[in-house]
Amino acid sequence: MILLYHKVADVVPTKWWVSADRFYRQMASLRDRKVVYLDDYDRTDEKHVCITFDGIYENVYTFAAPILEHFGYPYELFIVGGTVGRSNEFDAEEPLARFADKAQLSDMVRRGARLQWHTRTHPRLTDNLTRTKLKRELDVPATLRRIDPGGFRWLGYPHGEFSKATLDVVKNLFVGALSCHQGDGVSSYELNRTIVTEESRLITRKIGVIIPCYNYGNFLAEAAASVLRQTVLPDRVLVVDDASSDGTEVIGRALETSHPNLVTFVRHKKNLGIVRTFNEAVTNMDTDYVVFLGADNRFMSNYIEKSAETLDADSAVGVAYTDYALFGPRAPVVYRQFPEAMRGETRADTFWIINFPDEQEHVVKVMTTGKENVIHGSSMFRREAWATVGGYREFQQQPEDFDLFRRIVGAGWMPKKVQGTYLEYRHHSPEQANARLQSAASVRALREALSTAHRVAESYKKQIDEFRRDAEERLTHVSLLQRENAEKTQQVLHFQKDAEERAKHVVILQEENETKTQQVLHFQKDTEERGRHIAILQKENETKTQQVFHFQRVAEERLRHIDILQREIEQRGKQVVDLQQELEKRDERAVLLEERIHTLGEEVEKHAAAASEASWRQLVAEKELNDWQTAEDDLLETAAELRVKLDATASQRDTLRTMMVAVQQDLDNAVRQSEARASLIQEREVELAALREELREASRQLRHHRKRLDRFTGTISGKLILPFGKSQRKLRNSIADARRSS
Amino acid sequence: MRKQPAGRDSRSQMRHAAEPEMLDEFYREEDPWGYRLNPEDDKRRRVLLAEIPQRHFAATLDLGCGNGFVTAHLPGDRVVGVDISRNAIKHARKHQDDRLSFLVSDIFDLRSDSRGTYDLIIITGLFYPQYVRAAGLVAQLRVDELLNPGGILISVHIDEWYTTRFPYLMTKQITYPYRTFTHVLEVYVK
Repeated sequence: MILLYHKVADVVPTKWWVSADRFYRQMASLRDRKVVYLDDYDRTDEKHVCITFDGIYENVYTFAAPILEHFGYPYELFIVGGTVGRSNEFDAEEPLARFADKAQLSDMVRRGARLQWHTRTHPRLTDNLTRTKLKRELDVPATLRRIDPGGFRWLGYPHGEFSKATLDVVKNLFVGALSCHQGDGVSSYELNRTIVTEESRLITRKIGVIIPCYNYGNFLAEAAASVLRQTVLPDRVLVVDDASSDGTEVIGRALETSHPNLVTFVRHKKNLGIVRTFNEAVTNMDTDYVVFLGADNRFMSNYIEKSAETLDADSAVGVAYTDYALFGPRAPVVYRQFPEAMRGETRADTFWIINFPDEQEHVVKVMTTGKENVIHGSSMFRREAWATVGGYREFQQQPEDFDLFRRIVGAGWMPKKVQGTYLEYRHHSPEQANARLQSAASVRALREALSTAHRVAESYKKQIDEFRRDAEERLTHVSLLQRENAEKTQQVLHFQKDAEERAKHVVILQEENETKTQQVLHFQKDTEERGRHIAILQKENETKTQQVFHFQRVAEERLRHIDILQREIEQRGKQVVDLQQELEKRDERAVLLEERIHTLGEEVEKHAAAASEASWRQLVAEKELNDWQTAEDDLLETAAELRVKLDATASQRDTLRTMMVAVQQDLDNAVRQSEARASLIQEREVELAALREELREASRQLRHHRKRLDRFTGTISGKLILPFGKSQRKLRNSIADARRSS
Repeated sequence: MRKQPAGRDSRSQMRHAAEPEMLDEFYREEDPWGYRLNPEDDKRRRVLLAEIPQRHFAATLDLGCGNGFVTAHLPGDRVVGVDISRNAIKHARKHQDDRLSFLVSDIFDLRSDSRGTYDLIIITGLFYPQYVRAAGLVAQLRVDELLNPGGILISVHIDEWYTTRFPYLMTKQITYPYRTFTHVLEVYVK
């Protein structure tokens, strides 16, 4: 993990700042990792952490550097060359802050920092930059390089941005480069960083402190104060009052009130004793690490930081223990009771130090064999370890804490000595235990309790005032109500008189009522009948409704049918329009043809007339011919008779023959004429036949013409018997056809 | 609009009672608190001097020395008084001599290599939220840098505003009323 900081200071104006105290605690929480320089960074090792800064602001020198030196961590400073020794006036959104100057950077390098490059003017290294500009940004001036000759091997991309073109150039100038989120996290030139803020918590393990108290109320505030004024605060503090009969509860509650999110106070109604109290407290303390503090003892102010650090650094360690700093009137006496090897220094005639052994193997041996207790009861332990071995036990040979830590070490958890801090262990005389108010902390706690009590009293006073006011108001209200009551009594008397009158009225009304009741019964019967009638009508109604539905469905079908027909009608309408148009056309043509027919009819008439004349003539001629034939026969008959007269009459015959020939010629002419006419008529027939197709739908005028033709042809057909009747038949047929077709 | 500096840089902009500019104003006249005349401060000086262990001190540092009212009486072969208010130090310099010297600085700038380290450090009214804000631990580190092992640290603060504790064995803690407040005096041995 590579961490990225910008500004570390005593204030937090924006998200780019982390307070120094928070930074201290974040650094403390890295104790279980390995903090390294970038050159040594192995991204596959989960424990590796690099601490980097971009900027570099002067406040990093003032606030972060001392802390990093305190923890002995290496760190990397990515400087923007153009800002060294200047201020950040160009940054419109951020409060004014100065950048570190060369002397300050140099001082940090002496104390464990390395300098790296963050470009000259902090531009975005994307493709918009020309190659020349890019190179200029990446070039480290000699004046800065001198400050850390071993540095400037790494580049931090401004805003974490880079492009392919940038990468190519960067690879030639640096051994690696850091982005923020844009990199692939794998290549040395694309490593990503975690931006750290005031809210960041690099560790999530929680520490709980338990202060059990039985009648040590006088010391409790001091013990709690030592817990609440630690360099690294615990996450939870539990103060347990095992049914004390002194001021423990007062102090305990005051502590809870003044630190509501940190301190919880619990009071047992009955005394449960040490083991039950301890086990119950740890059960309710849901933290990763737990440490007990006797209510009459104190922690030095870095006790929690150092003990937690020891547990953080090695997950195999189950309990972290310290030396004693004995104090109090009986301390020197107790001190001398310890074996000489364990007696440490005396400090300011106030503290007598007891040193416990720190060789792990030795400690494991003496603890598991039960020979010697070198791990005191206020050692910080992993809750997991307590749970695994089943917690504290009663009625054992050894004191309960020795018994617990023995079993924890026996279960395989390692013990580890914590350096640099002490449990301040009070040894007091019985008189001192009864003495009052030992410390400023007690005063504070009691003052807190007093102010709470005052507040409660105030609120009761206010309530009493309110109730008093309320009561007065109610008394006023009561007298008002009494007056109203007198008024109402008057009203009541008045209403009573009224009521008597009305009672009399009521009797009258009651009699009326009986009559009306009769009526009502009558109406009820009527209503029932009507009800029945209604039921019947309703049934009818249902039937009708059914019918209606049925008709509706039928209507719908018909409507659909109508739709279809309408569409057909439309179509037909269109067709009719078309046909009408055609009809008009044909009418026009018919008119034309009519005229022609008329003309032709006239012609036919003429021809017919001629034909009839011709046929009449023919008939006449036939008749004549018959006559002449008859005459001929007669003549023949008489010929015989007259053969004798033949010769005499030969010339007569010859004259007759010549007359016959002439008649024959006339007839031939007439026949030729009629043939000619017949052929003409044929032609016309053909035309008519052609027109037949066209004139299917004949008009009345044509029928009229037909009728006239009929009259003519009717008179002809009965009398036509002559041999050249074929052509006449033809003529007749054609006229009949013409009639039909017209 | 002129940008607002932040944190330490913004001290000149802050409106808290005891900021340098305002302290400078305050100290314009020599004895603004009326230290010499005020019985409360006379008591303060007496209590402090009584609690200093009886032993030899080669170098003494008085952090938050004000106008040097107490500094002049401190034991030590070499005594340095430090305060953030320029005006206060100007007045304090009246006490300056071979043994006594004064310096304007805030706690974060004090580095041990500039003037060495001390056997006795007195801190008066420095570890308040309005001074150290969210960097109390860094101020403690600075003090630790300046204090020799086995050295004595005496912290004098108004109890209502003081929430620090130093990571050394506290040999004594006493409280006494001071003006309208309660003072707490703690003696530590490193």
